[in-house]
Amino acid sequence: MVEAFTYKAFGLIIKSEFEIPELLVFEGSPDVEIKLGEVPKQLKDITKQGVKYQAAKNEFLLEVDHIAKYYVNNGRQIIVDTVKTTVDKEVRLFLLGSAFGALFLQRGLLPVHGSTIKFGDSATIFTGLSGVGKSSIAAYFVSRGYNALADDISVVNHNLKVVPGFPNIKIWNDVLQKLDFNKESLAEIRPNVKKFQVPINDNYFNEPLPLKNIIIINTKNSPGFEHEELTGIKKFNAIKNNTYRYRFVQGLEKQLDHFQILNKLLPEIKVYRVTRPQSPLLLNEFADFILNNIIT
Amino acid sequence: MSIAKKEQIKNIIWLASYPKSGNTWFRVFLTNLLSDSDVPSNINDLTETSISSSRKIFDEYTGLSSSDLTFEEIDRMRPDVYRMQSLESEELLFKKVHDKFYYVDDNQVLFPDEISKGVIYFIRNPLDVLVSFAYHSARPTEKMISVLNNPEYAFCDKNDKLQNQLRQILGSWSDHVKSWTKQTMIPVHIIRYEDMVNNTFESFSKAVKFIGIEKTEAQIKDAIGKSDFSVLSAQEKEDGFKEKMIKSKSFFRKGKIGDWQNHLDEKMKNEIITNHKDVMMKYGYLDDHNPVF
Repeated sequence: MVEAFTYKAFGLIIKSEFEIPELLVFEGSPDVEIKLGEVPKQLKDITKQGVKYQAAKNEFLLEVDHIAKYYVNNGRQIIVDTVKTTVDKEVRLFLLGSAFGALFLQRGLLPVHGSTIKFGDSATIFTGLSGVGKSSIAAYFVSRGYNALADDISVVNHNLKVVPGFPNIKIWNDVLQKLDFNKESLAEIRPNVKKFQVPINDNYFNEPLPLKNIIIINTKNSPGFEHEELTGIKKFNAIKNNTYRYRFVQGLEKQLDHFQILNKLLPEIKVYRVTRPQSPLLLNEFADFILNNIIT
Repeated sequence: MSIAKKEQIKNIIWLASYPKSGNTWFRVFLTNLLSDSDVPSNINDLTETSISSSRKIFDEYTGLSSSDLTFEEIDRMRPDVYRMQSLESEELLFKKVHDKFYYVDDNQVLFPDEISKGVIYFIRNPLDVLVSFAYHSARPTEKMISVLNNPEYAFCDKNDKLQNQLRQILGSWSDHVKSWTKQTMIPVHIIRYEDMVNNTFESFSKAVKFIGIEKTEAQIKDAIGKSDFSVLSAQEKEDGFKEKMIKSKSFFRKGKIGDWQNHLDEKMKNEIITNHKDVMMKYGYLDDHNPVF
């Protein structure tokens, strides 16, 4: 019998044939199974494809050169086919990233690209383009004692709550230097990428929370912070465009599910665009601006 | 996994240059030329010409986060990102490039020839490039000399922080020019910035002809008028320009030919000339040992 590990992450009970130390251990009958094995070479009836993925209705195949292939189907199963001798942190990095993103979309959930912080009794998601500072501001709030629910992918479930992901934030070395974390024993996400896995066990909130705000971070090439509340079509498009791996949605033929959850969610939340200077990254001032203008 | 075999067509025009050589001016012109509007296009909305080092486009097309990948891994995937964009487009695509032209591995170049209709390469007197680039980066001119001379020079090449664009290897000014103008895989049309300023209509018309789009003399003149330096500079004063670096005061500074004479001493001038003599001679920037412009 194959050894099995059971975890809970993003509101799902996950049974895996290999250990995933990033996730929190749990017991119960699984919603999702992760196995090692062979994956299809090609999908049939491809509806969308990218450079490294193919999507069909309820099927998704991702290939990361020299690391692994991931086959996700029906929102219930992920098969990992790795070229490595063991499932190491690199294999898990893309599993917990793009492969999980496809899994959530197959289940009709809304994965937003960004990190979630608990303010009061509700959740606020920080989203925006890659490199805009989503994880940095979340890590800063954590360093000031706030609790986080998720980093990089924040999943909104059908009850319009953000479900906790796993107690970890990925932070680049330059930001890490500015924060008051214990830097010893931190591991790089990959040998040649100076981004670190920072465990946040003490500041991890492990219950679903109603989503109150989505903050889209933007940058500008002039000093000072600005904010604007988005409404109407701008509000809709902002969330659509910041859906994690939005191009998968079409491939998985999940446009209707995606549209429905957005329509249900939008009247219940506020969406802001907050613009910060490109540089320097003034986390303290940025956090204060958010606290004073949005999280009042 | 290989990209589906719909027939690849040559529909990308690369707008390539070392920085501060007229690329953005041409992009504004092109945006105006391709637009039906009576008023000049907004400099903050140059959607007709996307930037080839965009992290967002890379992430969308690969299905991966570039921030989880090494520079080398990203480089090896970039050609496929362009192939896929080419495949998905029925129309001509214009892509701005500051990278030099190079091989990402033994078998492939960064910009695949089978999807490339051509490259317009913008070149400008490196003495003026130096002054403009220093202003743009808010760095002392003396320091920028080593940038123009540096064969390893690259944008966004720090591996301990996340930068807003993908890494772009430029090499030295001469490396950059030679990489694009000596390659024979993609048809290249070279435009000198000085000709864009001095013989605007002729220079822009030749580029339009090279691109292969049908436009009348009146349409070209109209687009030139709408992308005049004064228009761009006024727009920037009014609303800013998002491609400006945060430390510099403005993107559209002077655009003058020979402005280096107001900023460079003899030693600085000679450092550039000594390092880039051959290329400067070839493109008419040096007459024996004296700058032409």
